[in-house]
Amino acid sequence: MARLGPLLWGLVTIRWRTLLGRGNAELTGEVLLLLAAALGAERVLAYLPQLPLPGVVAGLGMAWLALSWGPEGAPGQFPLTRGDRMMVRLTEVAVNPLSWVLFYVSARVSPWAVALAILAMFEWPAVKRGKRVSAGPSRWPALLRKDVRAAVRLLDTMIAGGIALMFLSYAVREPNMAIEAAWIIPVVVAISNSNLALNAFGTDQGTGFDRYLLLPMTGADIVRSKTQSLFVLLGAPMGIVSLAVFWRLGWAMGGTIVIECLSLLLLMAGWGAWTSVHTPFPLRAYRFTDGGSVLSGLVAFALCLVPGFAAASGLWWVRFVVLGLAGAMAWQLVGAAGRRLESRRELIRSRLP
Amino acid sequence: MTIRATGLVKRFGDFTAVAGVDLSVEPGNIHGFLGPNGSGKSTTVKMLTGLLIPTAGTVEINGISLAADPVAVKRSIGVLPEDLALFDALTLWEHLALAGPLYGLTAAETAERAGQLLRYLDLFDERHTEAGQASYGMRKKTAFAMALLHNPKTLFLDEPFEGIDPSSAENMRELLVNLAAKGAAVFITSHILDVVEKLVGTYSILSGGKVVASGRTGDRPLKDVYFEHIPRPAGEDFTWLG
Repeated sequence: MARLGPLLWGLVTIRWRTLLGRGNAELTGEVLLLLAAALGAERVLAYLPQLPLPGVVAGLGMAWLALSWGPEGAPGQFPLTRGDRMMVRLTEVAVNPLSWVLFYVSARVSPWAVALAILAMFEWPAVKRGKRVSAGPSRWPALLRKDVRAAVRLLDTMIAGGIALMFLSYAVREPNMAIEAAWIIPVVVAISNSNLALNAFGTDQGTGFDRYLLLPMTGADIVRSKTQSLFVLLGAPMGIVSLAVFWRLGWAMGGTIVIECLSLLLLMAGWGAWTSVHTPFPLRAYRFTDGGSVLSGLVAFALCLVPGFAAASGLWWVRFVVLGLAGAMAWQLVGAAGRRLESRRELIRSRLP
Repeated sequence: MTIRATGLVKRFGDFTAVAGVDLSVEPGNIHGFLGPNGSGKSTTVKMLTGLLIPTAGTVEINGISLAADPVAVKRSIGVLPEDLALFDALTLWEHLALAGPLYGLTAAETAERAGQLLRYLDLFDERHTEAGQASYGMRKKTAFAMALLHNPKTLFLDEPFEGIDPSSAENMRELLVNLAAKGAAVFITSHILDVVEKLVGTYSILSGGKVVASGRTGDRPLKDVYFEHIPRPAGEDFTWLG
């Protein structure tokens, strides 16, 4: 143990320096989402009947966390026994507040997901992955293709897609769909994808961001390209939800949900563009993330509730007012973010390793 | 002049990484930018290519001020940056396919040039590998191909030969010589003095963020000039080693 002490202390130092080293405590969109789910979302969960699925996602995320935190690759250089490696993993998990939130939520959603996570921490089969090779040429613009390909490897996107598919399954099994479910689920989908929306350069990492700066594109071009990608990524699960509502609740309610989804997309695009150039942080494939600004996450959370309440209000003009305001906000903030990107490029780059 | 930098300074808080660098490179010349680790070479290249904003000083590339029209400058230059600047989720081929149209090439032109470059760099068979899965050398050759794809007037290469296999390195060297012979300016940073001496026409040596020597190769052996200004650390007696 004394032999391992300096290494374990190093891991603790790295974790807390990451969390506190930017002048303010920072947590993640996931933490907000998971706290919301844990503390008051039984009503949402009531419409997502396959509860083990989010449990599995949370459990696997937990296991990946256990394997991924700490200095990447560094512990692997040292002559560690199997027991040493176990200690390293447990320390990495124990010192991260996100792991405690995840444990708590996993336990509420599906207790056996916690068991799966713990099991995975003790023994995780070494998977030798072959080279990932493109499926072939695509007609999509390359930057959009790149963003989509990177985003579908994020646990956030998987959760958002999973929620949309579970809602579709609910629609198939329940002809008398609850109206409440129709307007709540798009809000949950938007919030669960908030890390990606609020952090457009997160999947590019520092090297990808450098490439944007080297290409002959203005800041406005770059932010517009990111906004297009967000519309595709967030629009796909919302489209599934909208179709399910059209099918079960008819054109009037379907139209309401489409307006709600459009408002959500515009709000997330606008606020996301702004936060992407002000509080960027890295996102990693197949990992939950920490590092996002608490304030940005709370604002996104509050903004996402507005179209939901408008859809629930029963007043048609309120929905259109919200849509108009969301559009105006998106227009202003996307433009402003494009202009500010030029002057903030060094700060963004320094936040993306 | 193709590259003209005047009074370039870069400070990060209290730390001064580059302390007043003046540079000028003529068309058709290959210029070597040398110096020990941490001397400010990469920071200077980043300022010259728009990745970093200078604290003070001006940069003019191909007659265009970088501060006034950065997009026009970027259209006219090719860059192999220190970190390669690739997207992990795109294949090697897709990187080139992405870059071509942004520099005004048609899809057919892009495909033809990309194929030629990747074949010459022995990368064609691996072109559908995602960059995140590719080896360092493959990634570097891809970034090099991206830098050349649009036939730039000025090329900035940060450590181009480090981590590259000998035959590809020789082909890269040949491409650079041909490019310079046709009038392009090439700006190279490197630690490998032998390679630089054979390739470049002029050089600058950077130390502590300042240019401490500059001149033409051939006047004196480059190694002599380098070690005159950048002395080697004193010897130690490693009795415990080996």
